Amino acid sequence: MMNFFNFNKEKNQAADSTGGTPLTQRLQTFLGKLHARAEEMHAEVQDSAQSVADADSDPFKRSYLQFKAGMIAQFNAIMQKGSGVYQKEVVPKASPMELMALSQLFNDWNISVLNMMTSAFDHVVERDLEREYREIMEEYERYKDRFHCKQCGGKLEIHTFYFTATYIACPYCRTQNTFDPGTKVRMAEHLARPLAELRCRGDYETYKQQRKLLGAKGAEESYRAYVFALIGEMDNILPGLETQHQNFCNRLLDDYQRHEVFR
Amino acid sequence: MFKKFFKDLSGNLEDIAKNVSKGQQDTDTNDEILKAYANGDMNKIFDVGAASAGYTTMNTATEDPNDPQLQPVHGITVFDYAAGAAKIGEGCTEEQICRALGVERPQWDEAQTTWNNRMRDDKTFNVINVYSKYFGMVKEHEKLEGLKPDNAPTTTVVSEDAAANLQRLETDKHYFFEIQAAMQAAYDNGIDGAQWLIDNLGLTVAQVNGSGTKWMNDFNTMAQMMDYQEQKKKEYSERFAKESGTGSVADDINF
Repeated sequence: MMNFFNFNKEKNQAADSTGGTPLTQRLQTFLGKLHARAEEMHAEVQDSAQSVADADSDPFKRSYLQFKAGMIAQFNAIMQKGSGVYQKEVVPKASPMELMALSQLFNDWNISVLNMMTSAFDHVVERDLEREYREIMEEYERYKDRFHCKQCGGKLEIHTFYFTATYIACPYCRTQNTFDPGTKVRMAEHLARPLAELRCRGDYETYKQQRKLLGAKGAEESYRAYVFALIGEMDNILPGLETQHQNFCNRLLDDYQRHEVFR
Repeated sequence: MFKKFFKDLSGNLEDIAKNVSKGQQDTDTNDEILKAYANGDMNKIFDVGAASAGYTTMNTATEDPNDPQLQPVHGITVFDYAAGAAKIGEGCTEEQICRALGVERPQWDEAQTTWNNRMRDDKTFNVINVYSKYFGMVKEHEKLEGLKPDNAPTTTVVSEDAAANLQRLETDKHYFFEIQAAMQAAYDNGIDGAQWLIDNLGLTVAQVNGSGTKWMNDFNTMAQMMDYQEQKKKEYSERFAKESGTGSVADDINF
C-alpha cells in the first residue's frame, strides 16, 4: 500500500517518543484505519478517474465532475471524522505531556490525507482540447461544403471561420442567406481561451520561472510575452474577434498591474 | 530660469493638491467603512471596499445611457440578453428567444458574443453587475416573461407546485439558502444536484439561482444565513447518505 509523506513512519516515531500511552495508541490505530481507507480511495481514483473522464461525452464533463465531487466529499468526510474525534474525544482526555505527541500525530495524518485529496486527480486529463477543436473544425468544414443559396442553389464559398450564425449574401442572385454552423461549432467560442492557454503553456512556464526568480515586477515582461502569445493564439482560433481579444489583453495586463505588481 | 522654477512649482503644487485630495478621499473611505462596521452593515463595507479598488457591486453599478459598454447590440439590450439567458436556463431554445424579441439568430449570436466579451473585458465589473441584476428580473421582461420553454426538463412536479416553489425562493430567504445547501449536499453525495432540483422542485439551476440574485448580492443576508446554510447542508447530507445508502466511506471506522 502507498505511504504518503511517510505518515506511518512518523506515526511510529510519535508513538515511540511518548512511550505509546493507551490514548496515543488508540488514536494511532484509529487514524491508521482512516488513512488506509483514504489510500484505498486514492488508488481507486488513480485506476478509474481517467476512464470516467474519457467516457463522458458531455462537453462540460458533468458526469465526470459529479464523480470527482463525490470522491472529494469522501476525502473530506474522512478528514472531518478524524478531526472531530481528535478535537472532541482525544484533546479533552490528554495530559499536557501527551498532547504534544498527539497533536504531531494528528497533524501528520491530516496533512497526509489532505495531500491525497488534492493530488488524487492531478493525473487526469479532463478534456482533450485539441481533439475537441479538431472535431469542431471537421463539423464546420462539412457544413460549409454543403452550404448553398436557398434561392438559386448556387454554391456559396465561405473563406472565413464563422462560428456563429451569420448573414451571407449570394454572389449570383443577391439573396441573403443565414449561415448557421450549429451548436457544436459554437462551442469554439468557449474553447478558445483554454485551448490558447494550453498551446501557450511554454510561455506560461517561462513566466512562472521568472516570477519565482524576480518577483511580480521583474517578471512583468515575461508575463506580457505570455499574454501576447495567448491573444495571438485566440485570434487564430477565433478570427474576427481581434478587437475583443485586444480588450481582453488590456484587461489581463491591467489586472496584473493592479493585483500582482502593486499588491 | 524663473519661468522654469515657477513651472516646476506650479507642477509641484498641483501634485500636492492631488495628494491632499487623494488623502482626503482615503480618509473619507476609511470613515465610511468604520461607520458601516459600527452599524454592522456588511453590504456597505463591501461596496465601499470595492469602490476603493475601482470595482462596482450590484448596488453601486450604474446604467449610464451613454456608456459605450452598455449600448444595445442590434437592439438587444443588456436586459434582453440577461433575461434571454435566464430563459434559456429554463429550457427555452435560442430560436424561441429570437422570435419573442423579434430578432434573427445572427443578430442574437452577435449580441451574445458582444455582451459576453464586454463582461469579460470590463475592469470595473460594471457590465456584469448590471447583467446579474437583470438575470434575476426575467419576470419583469414584458416580451420574455411568459415564454413557455420548448425543452423544459421532464419532471413529475406539477407546474403550479413548481411556480409556488419559485415564488417561495424569491420571498423566503431561509428556503432559498436551504435549497442551496441541499444542492451542495447532493453533489457531495455523488447525486446530480441539478437533476435533484428538477425532480423535487420542478425547477432548473438557472431558475433557482435567478430567484435568489437579491439574496446572493446582499452581504448582510449572506453573513446572516451562513450558519443556517451549513446546518441545512449537514441535514441534507445525512438524508441523502441514508436514502442512497452511500454514506461516508469512514462510517464503519470508530474510535
